[in-house]
Amino acid sequence: MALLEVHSLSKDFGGLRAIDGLSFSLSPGEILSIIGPNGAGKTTVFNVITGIYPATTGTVVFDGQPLVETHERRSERVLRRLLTSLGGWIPKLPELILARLGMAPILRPHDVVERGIARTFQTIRLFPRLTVLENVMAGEHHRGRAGALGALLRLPSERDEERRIVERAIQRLEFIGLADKLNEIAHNLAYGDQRRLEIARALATDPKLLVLDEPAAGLNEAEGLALMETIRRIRDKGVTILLIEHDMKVVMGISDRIIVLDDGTKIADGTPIEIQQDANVIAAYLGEEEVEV
Amino acid sequence: MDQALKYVRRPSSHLWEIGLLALALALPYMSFMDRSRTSLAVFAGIYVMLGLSLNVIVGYAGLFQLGHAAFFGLGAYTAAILSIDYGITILATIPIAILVAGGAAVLVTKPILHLRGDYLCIVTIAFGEIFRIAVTNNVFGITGGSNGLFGAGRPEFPLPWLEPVPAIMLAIILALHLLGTRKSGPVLQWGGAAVIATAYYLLPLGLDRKPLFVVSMAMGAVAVIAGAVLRSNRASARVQMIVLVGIVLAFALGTVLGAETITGEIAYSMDEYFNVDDPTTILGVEFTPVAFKRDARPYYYLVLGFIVLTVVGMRRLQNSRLGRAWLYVREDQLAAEAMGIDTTQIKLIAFAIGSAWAGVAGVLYASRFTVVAPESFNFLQSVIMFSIVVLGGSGSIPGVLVGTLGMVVLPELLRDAAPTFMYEGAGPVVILALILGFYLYHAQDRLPAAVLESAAIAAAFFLPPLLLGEPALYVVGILMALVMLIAIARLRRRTARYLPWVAGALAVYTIVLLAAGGSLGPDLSDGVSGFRIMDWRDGLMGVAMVLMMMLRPAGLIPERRRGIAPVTVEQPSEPIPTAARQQTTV
Repeated sequence: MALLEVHSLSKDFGGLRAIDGLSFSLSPGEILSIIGPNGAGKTTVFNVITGIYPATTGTVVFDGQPLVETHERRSERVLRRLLTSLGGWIPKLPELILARLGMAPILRPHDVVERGIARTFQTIRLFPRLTVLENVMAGEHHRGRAGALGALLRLPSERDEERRIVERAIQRLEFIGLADKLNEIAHNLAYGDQRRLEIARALATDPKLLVLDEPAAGLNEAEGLALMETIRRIRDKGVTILLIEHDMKVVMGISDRIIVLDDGTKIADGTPIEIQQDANVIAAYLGEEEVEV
Repeated sequence: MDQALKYVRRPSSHLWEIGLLALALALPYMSFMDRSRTSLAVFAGIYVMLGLSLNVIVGYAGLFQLGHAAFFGLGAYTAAILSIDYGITILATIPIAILVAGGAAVLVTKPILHLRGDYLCIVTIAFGEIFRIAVTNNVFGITGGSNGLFGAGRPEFPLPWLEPVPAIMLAIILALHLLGTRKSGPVLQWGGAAVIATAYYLLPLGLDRKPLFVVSMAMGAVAVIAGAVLRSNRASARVQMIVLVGIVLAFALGTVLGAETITGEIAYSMDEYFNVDDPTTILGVEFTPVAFKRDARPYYYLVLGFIVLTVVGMRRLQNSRLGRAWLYVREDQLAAEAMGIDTTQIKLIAFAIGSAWAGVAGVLYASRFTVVAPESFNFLQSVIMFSIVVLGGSGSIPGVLVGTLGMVVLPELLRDAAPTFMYEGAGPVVILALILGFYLYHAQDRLPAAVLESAAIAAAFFLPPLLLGEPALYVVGILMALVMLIAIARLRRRTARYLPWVAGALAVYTIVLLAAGGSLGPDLSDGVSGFRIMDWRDGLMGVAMVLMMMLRPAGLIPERRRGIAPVTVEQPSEPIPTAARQQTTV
């Protein structure tokens, strides 16, 4: 069964249709890349899947659970909006009502993370003034339970949890190769290290699906190769990967499958070799020139 | 394992804190502390609590809150109403004040949490004003209108709590020891306990028992120093234990002996500070209620106790999962959300905790002044609280202390001081302080240059009024000195270094002058007409703050990131040479 299924997904910004009826699916353990010229809607796809933007139409199913569901009646939409505004006052109540009515839950980005999707950003969004370790510890947050009282009284459970959080964060940093820099302030890191730190932070949420938005942007060739190696190792740990990338060396080197977007629609879907030979792709995305490998 | 914990349980020597606490404990006994200054210290202490509570919202979570006085006021009004109308002893209203202020914060901020920056700021201002107007208009007929409420109770304790009971004290010490983690240095914990126990004695003991006080302080100091020495020498656990036992025995002996002599005199000394009521029996236990009198000293120790509690609590929160979540939200809300953090909830908790604790400060305020009126909770108070946090350094606990000194204590001291304070021997001392300051601060610089510059600045400050014989021109002098200072600093591209020193020199001078309580030089006050430093206070404060924020945008004592102690990595999945090199232990 597919881990992620996207069905005829569309997203409008005012009059602009950023994504237009996009469908694709992603099997567990796969590395899928989405490529396309600037403005093709790649990042928008990511933002819809991770709950930052609501979709206009379409559905997304992740791990057998609806993540995005839009084909609903107007009355349902009004109800959903009402319940959303109720949300913070009475926690969990809106979710319960929606579940009773058989409607998809209201998912905000942090809910999506809890379902098992983690992401990085196109422009690096670390917590710049915090240390490397603190950055990675952010990913552990959602699995913790300790609250204010536990912290104030330093309950044994809170202590154990903190210890586990730090240990796991250190393990992630070892995995990504930043363990020797864990006390450094994030924005003092070299650019390539910041990219890796962002990946480590996303991994710390223990995702089933890791969504990487242009991870190779700004990296030199050696760093790009190291990144490919890292992505493969992440996949080998059982994490499925969805990738947006402009660097064709990286894309062609590690993708199992590639989807090409142009103007919000899918124009090709296949293995790297198929994509390189696809006439549509060459015309729309790569222009007249030959594909570089 | 323990290394990992070091992140959370910051490996600090508590030397600084204990020293500061010892100083704070001794403060009411220092020669320059009269009644009004002790009273000011209590007032400032309440503002420290307010600053620390607001620091959760502004410093940790990075949100705007310019209506904090409303929650302070909610606590104060809750305490006053419950005390006056229902006769509840005032400290017992704290839990209710927490619920009222925290609950109000949740209700009121929930709908506006999605607002960002300046929008949130405007709405919180509105809340503050709504509160003030509501209580002025006597809502529900319980707030007493614009006159406020009179006659809130003073703190009361059952007498046994105030009697020196060595057993209780030893229990406190033991509990602290057991709670302390092994590695953080048990001796230091004992030292801290000794100081705390001193406070425990001071409160009831009529406070004229200076000898005992000195003995306790000395013991605390010995414990602290012994702890530091042992730690730095990596003494074995057994040596530490032996020293510990020795200190405890000495301390216990001292307290038992001390208690013997004290109990005979307690009734005498307590009269001065406490009202002792007739004994009553509750649940078969007889106890004697003892209430604070108007004198500020008992309040001082009460508020100090609350501040210690607050600082410990805030520090624990800061180093917890929740505290980190606040930082993440402050640093980058979208990234925090994408890491699975429910940012709305996290911000709501920040508002709830910060406001609830402001409510506690409100209870203390009501119990201190027994009068609660709307004007104590107006917009200016919110601004002062906000300034305390920002001036000292957002997110920094010592910053709040310094900020309170700057925003609350200094203006009051200036009010305290004679109108002629600026002329009283200011000249020589300021010039000397400046020269000395510059010289020490720029030890690499050539001395003559530093002297010349210092003299130029001081001359700019003093010459206009002296030459023209009009003391009011000191204000002009200040401005000229500032201009000259900035010019010099610009020339040397060392802007950030100079002004703090001038400020420091002036502050030192002020403190010395005030502490000495008299003139340090020729008195020029004769014939001074109409110039009062008080009149210029707010303006000068404003100028100082603008300069401060230009030069130190992160505050006087900015928040510091801390790393984790050297890490021993368990089962490295991939050996990393540099990580292996760090395998040192504490």
